[in-house]
Amino acid sequence: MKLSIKHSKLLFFLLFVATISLLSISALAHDHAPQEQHHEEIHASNHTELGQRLPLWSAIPFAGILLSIAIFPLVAPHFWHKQFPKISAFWAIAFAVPFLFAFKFEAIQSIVHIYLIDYIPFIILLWSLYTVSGGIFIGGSLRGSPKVNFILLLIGTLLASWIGTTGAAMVMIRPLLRANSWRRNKVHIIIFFIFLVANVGGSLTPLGDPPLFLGFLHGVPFFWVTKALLPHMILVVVLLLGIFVAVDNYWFKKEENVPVDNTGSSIKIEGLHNLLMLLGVMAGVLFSGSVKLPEFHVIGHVTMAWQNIARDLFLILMGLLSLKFTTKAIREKNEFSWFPIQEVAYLFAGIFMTIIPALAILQVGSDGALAGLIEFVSTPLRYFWVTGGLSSFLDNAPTYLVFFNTALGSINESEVPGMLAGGNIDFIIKLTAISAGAVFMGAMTYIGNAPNFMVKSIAEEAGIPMPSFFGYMLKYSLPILVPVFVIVTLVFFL
Amino acid sequence: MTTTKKRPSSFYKMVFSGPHDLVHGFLSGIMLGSGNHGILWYCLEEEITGPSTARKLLDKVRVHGDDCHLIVDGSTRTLLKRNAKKMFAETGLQIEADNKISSARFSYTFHAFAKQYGDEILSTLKTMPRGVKKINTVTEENIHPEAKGVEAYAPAHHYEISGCGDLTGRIDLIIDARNELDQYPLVKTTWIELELA
Repeated sequence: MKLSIKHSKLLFFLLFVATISLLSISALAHDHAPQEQHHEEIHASNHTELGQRLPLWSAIPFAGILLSIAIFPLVAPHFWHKQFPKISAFWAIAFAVPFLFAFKFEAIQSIVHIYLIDYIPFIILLWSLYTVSGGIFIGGSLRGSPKVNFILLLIGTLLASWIGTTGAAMVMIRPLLRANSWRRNKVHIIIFFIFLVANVGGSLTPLGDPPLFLGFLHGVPFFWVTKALLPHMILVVVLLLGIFVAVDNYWFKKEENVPVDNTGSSIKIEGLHNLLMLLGVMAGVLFSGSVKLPEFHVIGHVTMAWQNIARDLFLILMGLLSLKFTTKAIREKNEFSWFPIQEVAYLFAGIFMTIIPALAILQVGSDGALAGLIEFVSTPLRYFWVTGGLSSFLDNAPTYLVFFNTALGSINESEVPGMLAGGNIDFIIKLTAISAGAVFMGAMTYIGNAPNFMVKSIAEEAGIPMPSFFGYMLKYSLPILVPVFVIVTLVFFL
Repeated sequence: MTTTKKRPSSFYKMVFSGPHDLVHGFLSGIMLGSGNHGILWYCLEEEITGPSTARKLLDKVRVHGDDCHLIVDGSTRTLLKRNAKKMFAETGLQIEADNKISSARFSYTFHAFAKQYGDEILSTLKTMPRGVKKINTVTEENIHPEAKGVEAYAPAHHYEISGCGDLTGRIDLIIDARNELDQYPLVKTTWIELELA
């Protein structure tokens, strides 16, 4: 029997996964063996104890998937474009199979917990925001002067916290590109768009950036982040917009053949009814954060609250209403497709599976294998820079969750709202530093936050010579963002 | 550099020694005073190699050196050579080098992710004036239909064209060709190199 190339690849992939899984099973089973005499205790054990028993290397698939997301798009974009669902599945299976084999019911509980409590609501929120914001189109002819660019960046920055950084980037990038199509020197405009709209702007609500929504799912009140990060966000936005205006004025003066300014004569916003759906999304999220309905038992220690199910159903309804009442033409003008949300769904399915050991180990604090990291990130300054530094190169949502758990230690998540409301200064300032680091420093590289690459790709197809991965860092993020973040540190985290 | 009148066929590279502002002032004065409408281009302004890299960088921050590299035509060269002694006596400026230019060349590379831009660049390269020769030309076009559309985590372009090559020919035509290619932000060009007779 002859195998086709496609089947051979699949077989090879399965064999590879099986080999990795078997190796991991033997190792995990070996580590687990001395404890088998306490079988019943293990069954009764909670997540904290799981973290004490899991070895550090069980987080290798987590590191693997994050590094895959970071490296493959740069070194093999077309391979990654075709194979990322399989690569995500590979890392997920590489962890899940040995984990289930070694920890059985405990593993099932952990997996069900992370998918029901984190993954599904996370995907539903991103899907609804993406669907709704993809139905808003800003058209018309603007002339890309420093004033117009400043206003577009400011609108995008303010919008990002309410429709998400991906949604704001999708809605605002094309008007910005059209306005500046006549300009020769425009790379800096797209760079500041990435800084402000695709990252910093999303810092004010859990709708703004995925890490903050994960915080919300883990007990951080909806408007806590607005209050906590507003001063930091204002400082960063004022500094960045100030630098932008100076740089854009410099390049604008060098432009030849400046077109006549007819800004305002034909600006057109279509699909405004989607703002109602957007309000619905916000209302749904707020509802789940403020209403306490009964919980029901799912499996083991996993329970679900009815208000969260109501929220998710309502968010789906908002997305469906947006699809129903928005014309195809508007979505086509936004070049709307489901691919970005499919990417998030596939990759985060892998991320949430593989993050289980990292979170469990961090939850046991100094009793776990990551005691060294926990001792190191003991101050707000370190939380800001370590969370931010890792968010620059790894996806900021899982990075946030890891450091959120580090700051939380063995404290139960149900105590989070109380600690934030009751003035637990130590936890408040740490969580502020983690949130600011994860959101702001996603702008440090193209791979720090999902919309960065999307904006780069759209700009390149519009004929803008975007800098390379290292060019972006050396010419823009290191000389501009790092000094701004140093100022943020000096003002807020020392 | 734009001119519509008939171009000369011979060009020379001259190097003057003396303070930057004095060289510029003196040459402007002598050209105006003599009624010479010949060619006088400054190498740093036209991005023609000659000055060292350090000199180029210093010039960007307006720290000028004591040597000035020029491209001139035959009539301007004659005028300057004729006045060389007087010029030295009155201003201290000296002609340090004077060579005929046999040809000039520069390299270009481009990388575009939309067919429209690729076509525009290729069309410009195809319509270069007679006398500009293309050498070492490489062009690679790739189309990936599966990568069409917007992506966030798996960005890949459905269309990609890249190319590189050298353009060689008479210095004035090469300066024009380079200026034309520089209109495209997606094209990168090197400084012009001269081959001296």
